[in-house]
Amino acid sequence: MTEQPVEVMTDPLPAELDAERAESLFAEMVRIRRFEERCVELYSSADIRGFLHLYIGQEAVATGVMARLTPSDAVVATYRDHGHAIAKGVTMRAAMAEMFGRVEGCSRGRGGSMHLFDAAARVYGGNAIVGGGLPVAGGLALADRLQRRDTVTACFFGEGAVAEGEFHETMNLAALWDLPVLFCCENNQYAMGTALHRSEAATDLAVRAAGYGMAAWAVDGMDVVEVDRAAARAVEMIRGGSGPAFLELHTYRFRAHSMYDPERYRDKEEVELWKHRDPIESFWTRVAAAGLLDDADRVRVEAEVADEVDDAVEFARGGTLEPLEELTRWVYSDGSSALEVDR
Amino acid sequence: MGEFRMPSLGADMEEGTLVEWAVDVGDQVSKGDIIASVETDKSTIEVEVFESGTVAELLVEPGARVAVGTPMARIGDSSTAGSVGPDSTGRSGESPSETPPVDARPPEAPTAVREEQPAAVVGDGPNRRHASVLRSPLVRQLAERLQVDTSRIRGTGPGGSVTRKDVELASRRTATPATSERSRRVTPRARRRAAEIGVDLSVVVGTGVAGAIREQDVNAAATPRDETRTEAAGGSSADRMRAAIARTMERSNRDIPHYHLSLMVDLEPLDDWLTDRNAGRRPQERALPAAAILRASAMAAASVPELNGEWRDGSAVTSQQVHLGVLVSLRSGGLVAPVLHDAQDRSVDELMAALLDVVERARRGALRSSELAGATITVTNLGDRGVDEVLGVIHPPQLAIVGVGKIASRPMVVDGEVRARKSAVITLGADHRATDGRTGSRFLRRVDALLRDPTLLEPNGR
Ligand SMILES: Cc1ncc(C[n+]2csc(CCOP(=O)(O)OP(=O)(O)O)c2C)c(N)n1
Repeated sequence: MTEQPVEVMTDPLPAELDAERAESLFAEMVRIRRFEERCVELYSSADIRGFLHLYIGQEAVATGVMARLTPSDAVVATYRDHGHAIAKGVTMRAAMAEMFGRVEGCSRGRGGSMHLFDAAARVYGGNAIVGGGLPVAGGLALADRLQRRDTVTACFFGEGAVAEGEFHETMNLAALWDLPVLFCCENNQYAMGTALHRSEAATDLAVRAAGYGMAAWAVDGMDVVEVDRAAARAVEMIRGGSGPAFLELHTYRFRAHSMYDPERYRDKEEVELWKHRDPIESFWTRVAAAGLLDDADRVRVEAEVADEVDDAVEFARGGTLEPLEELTRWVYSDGSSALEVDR
Repeated sequence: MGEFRMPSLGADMEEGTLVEWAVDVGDQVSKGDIIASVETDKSTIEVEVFESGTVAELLVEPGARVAVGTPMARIGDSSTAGSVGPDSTGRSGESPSETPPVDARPPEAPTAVREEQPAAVVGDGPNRRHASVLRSPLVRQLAERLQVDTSRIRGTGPGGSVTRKDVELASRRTATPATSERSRRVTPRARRRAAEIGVDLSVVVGTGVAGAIREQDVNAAATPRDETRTEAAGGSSADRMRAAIARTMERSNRDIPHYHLSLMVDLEPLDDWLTDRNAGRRPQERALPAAAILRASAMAAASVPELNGEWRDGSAVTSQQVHLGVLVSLRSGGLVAPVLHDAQDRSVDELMAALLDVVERARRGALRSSELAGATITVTNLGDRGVDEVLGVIHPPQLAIVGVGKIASRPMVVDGEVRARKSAVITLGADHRATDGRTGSRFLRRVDALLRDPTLLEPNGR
C-alpha cells in the first residue's frame, strides 16, 4: 500500500503570516509551476532536449525550506532541481537558457535540466546520481564548519536515495561531526516506478534518520505553511550549532517520473486524489479565506509570473550555442586555479 | 488557430505512431487535456495538448507513424469564451497599464550579469589597494587557498608585511559568499514597490524572514526627495503613487500654460533603414523605431535648446546636455520616468540598450534613485497602446514633452501620389511661458528631417 492523501485538518494560519509573506510564498510556488508547465511544452516541441524531471506537485517543499534560508546558505538538489534553483534565486532566464543548452545558462548550457548550478546563488547543482548530492552537501557543510561560517547547507533528495550507501555515510558523518546540514528527504512515494514499501523494510524515514543521532521530523510536504514552520525550527537549531537535522517531507509528484513514463505503477485515481491537496490551490484557499489575499492579487501574481516566463523563454531562444571549438574546454582541469576560470 | 504536433517524448525519439485519438472533431479541449495516445519505441504514452479550443480537424489516422513535429490536429478558437484551461494564467494582458508605453520588447539583455565576490577590504577606505608585502610562501599559499586578494590587505607584520592572521581575518570578512542582487530575498510586494518609487534593492536592508526585503524596508530606504515619491504612509502603494502623480499633474496644469503642436512624420525611410541595419543581427541587438525616435528627439532638443531645461524662478534655464526622461507605465498602475542621461551623445543602439535596460529594471524594481532625477525633456510613447496622437502634460519644472503615437500605414501623398506609408504623429507639448509655437515648430521639423533621413541619426551622419 502506498500512502493515501488524508484530508488533513489544517491548523489555522500562523499569526505572523501576513499578506506580504503569504503572497511571497504563493508567488514562489506559482513561479515554479508555470516555469515547468512551459518546459513541458518546450520539451514536446524539441526546444528542450535531454532529460526533464518535473517538480509539479512538490513546490511547497522547495518554497517552504528556501523561505528560511539566507542568500549565503547553500543548496544541493537532485535531477528534479528546477524548483530548488528558482526558489534559491537562480533567475528564470539563467535556468531557462540552461534548459536550452545556451551559453547564457547558469551552467553555461553544459548541465541542462538536471544540473542547474549557480555559485552566486549558492546552488550546488542538481545531480543525476541518486544520492550523489549527499556527500557534496556534507563537504560544503564541513567547509563552512571549519571556516566558522554560520551558513546552513540544505540537501534535497528523494526517498529513493535512502537506499544508497552515500546516504548512510553522509548521515553518519554529519551527525558525528555536527555538520550544519539540513537533510530534506522529499518522500513522493515512488522512486521511478518503485513504491517505497517495495524496497524498504522500514518506511518511516524520520525514525530511521533519528537512528543516526540527529533531530528528525516528519512534515506534511503539501502544506507550505507546515514546511516553512518545520524549516524554521530546523534551521534555527542548525545555526545554533547543534549539528544536522532531518525533515521527511511527505509529498507527491503529479506528473511522470521524467518527461514521460507510462505510469503503470500507480492508478490515475491515486494521482487525482493527491491533486486535491495541490500545494498551490490549497494554500490559496486558506489565504483567501483568511482574507490575506484576494482575486486581484492572484491575477497580478499570475500576470507577473507569465511575463517572467515569457521573458525567460525569449532570452533562452536568443541565447548562444556553444561554439564547437569550446567543446572540450573545462572538461579537464587545465591546471590553472579555480579563480582563473573565465565566467 | 493552433496545431497539435507529434511531441518529442524523449531526446532520442524521432518519430511516433498514433495509437488512438482521445478526442473527436468538434470536441472542446483545454490546455493540459489528454488528446491522444502515442506509441514510441519504448512504450505507449498519453499525450497532452497545449492549446485550448475546439478540435477542428484530425490530420493523422490511428496507426500512422509520423516524425516529431508533424502537425496532427488543428485546434480552432474556442467558440465558448469560457473554456479556459485549468492552468490558465488568468492574466488580463490587455489592460492599458500593463505594458510600458515605450515600444519595448521584453528586454533581452545579453547575459545574466554576475557580480564578483566583494573584495576583502581591510583598512582605509572601500577600494584602497595596498602594496602588500608578502614575505612568507606559507602566507601566500594560505591566501590562495582562502581566495583572499592580498593586494587589498594592509599587513600588520614587520614592515607592513601580511601575516597569516591578516589573511585569516580577511577571509573571515569575505566568509559570507557573494550575494548577488538576484540572490537576495525580496518579497514580490517589495519588488513592486521598489520599482514604483525607484529604489535600488541592493542598498535595502531586509528585516523579513531570513533577511528578506519587505515592502516596509523599501519604503524606509526611499528618500522622499521629490514630490512624485511617497509621502503619506496610508493607503496601498498604488494609491500613494496615484496621489503623487495627481499632485504633479495638478501643479503642471495649474502653473504651465501648455501649447501643443503635432506633425505626421513619414517613417517609411526609418523602417527601411532599420530593416537594413537589423538584418543579420541577433534579436537582442536589433534597434526598434522607439530608439530612433528617442535619438531624433535628443538631437532635436540639442539643436533647439530653448525647449530643453527647466523653468526656474520665473525664467527658463536651458541645458546643453539632454537628459531624456522616458515614461514607463507600471503593471501595478502608475508611471515612472527613468532618465537617460546625456542622451545627445548616445547612438541609436546605445539608446536602444539603455531603453530596454531601464524598462526592464523599472518593472523589476531595480532603478536607482539617481536614474529618476534630472530630466531636461521627456518622451512619452503610447504608440503600442494603439493611439494616434499623444498630447502630453509637461512634468514640472521641465519645459516640454514629446508625444509619440502609433506607427501605422496611412495614406500619404508622396511625389503627387497617394501611397500607404508607415507614419506616426509626433507631438510637442511646450511651456508657453518659455517659448512660442515658432520654436516648437522648429523642434518638430528637426525631428521630422532626422527621421526622413535616418543616416543623420548616426554619429558621423552629419
Ligand atoms: C545511483 C543511481 N542509481 C539509479 C539511478 C536511476 N534512477 C534515476 S531516478 C531514480 C529514482 C529515484 O527516486 P527518488 O530518489 O525517490 O527521487 P524522485 O525521482 O522521486 O524525485 C533512479 C533509480 C540513478 N540515477 N542513480
